[in-house]
Amino acid sequence: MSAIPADVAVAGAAPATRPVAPRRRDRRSILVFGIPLGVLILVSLVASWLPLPDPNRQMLRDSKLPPLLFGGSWDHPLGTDLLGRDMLSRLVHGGQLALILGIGGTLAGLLPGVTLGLIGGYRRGWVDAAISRVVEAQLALPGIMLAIAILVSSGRSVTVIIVVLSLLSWAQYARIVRAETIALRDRTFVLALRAAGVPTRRIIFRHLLANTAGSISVLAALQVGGMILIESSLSFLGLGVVAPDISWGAMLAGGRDQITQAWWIATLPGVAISLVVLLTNLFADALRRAYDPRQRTY
Amino acid sequence: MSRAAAHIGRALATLWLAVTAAFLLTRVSGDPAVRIAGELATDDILDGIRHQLGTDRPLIVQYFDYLWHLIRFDLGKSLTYHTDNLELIGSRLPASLALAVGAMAVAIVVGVPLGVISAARVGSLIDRVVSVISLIGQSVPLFWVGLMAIMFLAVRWGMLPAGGNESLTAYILPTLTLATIPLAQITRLTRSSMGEALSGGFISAGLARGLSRTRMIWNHALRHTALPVLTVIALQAGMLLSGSVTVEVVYSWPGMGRLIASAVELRDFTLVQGLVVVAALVFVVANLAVDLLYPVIDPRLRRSRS
Amino acid sequence: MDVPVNEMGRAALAFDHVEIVARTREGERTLVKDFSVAVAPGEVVGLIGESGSGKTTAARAAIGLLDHNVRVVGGSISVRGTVVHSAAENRCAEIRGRDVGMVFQSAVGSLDPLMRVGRQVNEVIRAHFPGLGKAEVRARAAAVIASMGFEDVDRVLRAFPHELSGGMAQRVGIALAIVTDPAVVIADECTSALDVTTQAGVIDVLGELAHRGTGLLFVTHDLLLAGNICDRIAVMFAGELVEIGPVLDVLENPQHEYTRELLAAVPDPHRNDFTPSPNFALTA
Repeated sequence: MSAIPADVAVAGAAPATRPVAPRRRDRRSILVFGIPLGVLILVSLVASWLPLPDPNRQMLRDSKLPPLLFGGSWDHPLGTDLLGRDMLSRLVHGGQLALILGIGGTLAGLLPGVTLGLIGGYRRGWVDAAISRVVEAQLALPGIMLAIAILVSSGRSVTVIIVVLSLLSWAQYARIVRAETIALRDRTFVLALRAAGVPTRRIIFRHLLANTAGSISVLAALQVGGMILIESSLSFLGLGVVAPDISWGAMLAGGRDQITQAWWIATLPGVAISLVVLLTNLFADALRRAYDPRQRTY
Repeated sequence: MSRAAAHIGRALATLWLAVTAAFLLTRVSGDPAVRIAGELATDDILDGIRHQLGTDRPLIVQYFDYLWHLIRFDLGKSLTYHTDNLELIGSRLPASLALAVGAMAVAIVVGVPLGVISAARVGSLIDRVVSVISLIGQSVPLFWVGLMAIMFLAVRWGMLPAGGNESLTAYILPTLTLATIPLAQITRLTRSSMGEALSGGFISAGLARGLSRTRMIWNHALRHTALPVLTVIALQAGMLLSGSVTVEVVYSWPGMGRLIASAVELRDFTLVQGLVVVAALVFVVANLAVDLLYPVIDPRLRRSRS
Repeated sequence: MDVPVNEMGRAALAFDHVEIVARTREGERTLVKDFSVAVAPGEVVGLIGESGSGKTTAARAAIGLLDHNVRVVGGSISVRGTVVHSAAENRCAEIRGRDVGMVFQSAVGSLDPLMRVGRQVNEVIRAHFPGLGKAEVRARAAAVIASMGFEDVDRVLRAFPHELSGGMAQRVGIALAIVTDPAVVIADECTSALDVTTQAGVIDVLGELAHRGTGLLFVTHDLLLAGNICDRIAVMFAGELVEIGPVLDVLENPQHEYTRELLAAVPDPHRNDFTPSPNFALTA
């Protein structure tokens, strides 16, 4: 399910409002995890141009070939699936989708969430009350159930999935940004801006946004992994994208029956998911330690 | 007293919003009749289905009809099983509840001590190992973990049953699998709130007054972790119930999760709607319970007497 | 520098050429150097200094509350003649709270917010007198709270820390410090967070302690406040003791330049010619 950072889930957590310069050790961590992540993103973006076999080409006589170290050949270094499709190619293309949905879903949730959080936190009054109620309601709803409900009735496409992902994540941004905005709006610089007659829209979207950018980035980074996990769960249940699009979750589901004879069909996609999510979480954790001094325990 | 009333009021409002969302989402985002009959169905067939479902009436009428039925605990009839949805869901709820409660229990019993030890020995080997395992636990897809567990423990080595909930041993794998995420969260949360409590003034003050470190940790600081753990329980309650969809599918567990998975396959959208409503109810009740418990644990949240 | 060596054994609390060092990533930093002060039973000694002067570090060293990277590397600290520093952790625990009591700056912060005051007092009593029965423990708790001048003892015992006012909480803090009848009580800036009238009440209670024969080390940055209650005053700057003597001597006839600076810095409506000397600018 979506990864709610444990620390922000604690009632009354006071947000860090002053941007802090990251220490060298933390900057290094960011690079250590950020670079491989960047490489992965790059690879998946250029997937279509890589010298890989067509991921959807079925060759039934090549069905269920094992990976390289388990008796396979270089033709199919990670083996083939039930229909003879090359696993490596499918994994790379599945990665493309995973990252598109992961990052796309995060952004789709970020935009409305941050906007509503800023507006509610700044304006207070009934606007804030209304937004807060909706946020609470959203957080009170069982995510996957909602996702299932939507996908069942409106069909499966990348767009719908991204909408679903945004529905599942926007509320957390709203909550955090609102809390920080409330803390910021009474600060001297905001009062000065208001006294100077700066229009509200500019105050909110230029100044307040800049000050909350740190927390937003950290939350977003943490969410990407969660989005990938949710998407793969949905695909596993048969609610993900439709062929010829390839999703790791769907690959896993397909390999479920072959567990005894061709274990790699189900195992490899799971490893891929775990590695990518782990990497994004480590990256997000490094980001958080760098920019939120409260998290430092040493 | 009025604080409790405020919480209950809010819970009801949330429930209403949730129920409305369930209503809208299964209707507005596409025509269920088309989903059921397929793209190529003729208009006659589609009209027939729409009439059967009641979706040919104006949305407002459908909505009030829906609410009216809900208040009388009528969740409609399943399109595939032709039985009352409420009965159907009710028969599956205990199994899901057992799984969720078991997973949460494991998460607390293992997670809290781990968090305490990690916080008491920040930076030590145990602390780092726990951190790493925690992180990994939150990064792996549950259904894959379940699948791997089945592959090794059930199929290859035949140690545990591969599915169903017939025997007591059948509870082991699904419960442990489902417990991974709340376990990771509880460990992390306990560790951080314990860390905060330990660096708080009253700990060193207690030590200065002659109380032992052990006592400060277990009799004082631990109590402070109850709040965040309660928060996690609230957050996870619904997630366990719904996150268990994939776990139940993998382990063929006869609970609500698997029910919704098959409802999806069979395009039984009234059943799906009913399940969403029940899940929302469980979630809202769990959150309400936690909200009401907060002041009991933290006296600072209680209304001061005169 | 202070009390002759042969008198150390009779002092309630004695620092003898104490040196305290902190080990940080940038290297070692001396926090306290060549610090020698003795508090006799029934005597009130003020320890004055700005933040960063080392006074709190020295005070915490006496009760064994130093951070893990801070160590006493020279000299000794003794309580009623027994050496306290470099004692094994267990012995420190015995002495902490038993022969040395501490009163903290934030009284409410020194109490567990989730537990009632009475329970916390009982807990401290039981930790030091394990043989007592429940009724006896509760009786002692009530007695020590009553001795702080509270009228409604029951209400205080049943309250949670956040329900107490600053002054009330601080008196509870003092009660907890003296429940074992220690040789010396260290008051670490314990009135800094209070308003002036409440301060006076707390000072009175502390004064009572001295009358009963307990030594009191009164750590503060407020020179004039110290003048109200102390018999002797010790002034610290940048980890070193710069002046020590009877209170009237120090206040009216300060020997060291820094002491004079401190006195001069006290706002006087008749003067407006104070400029701080660059000699005493503290670097972080």
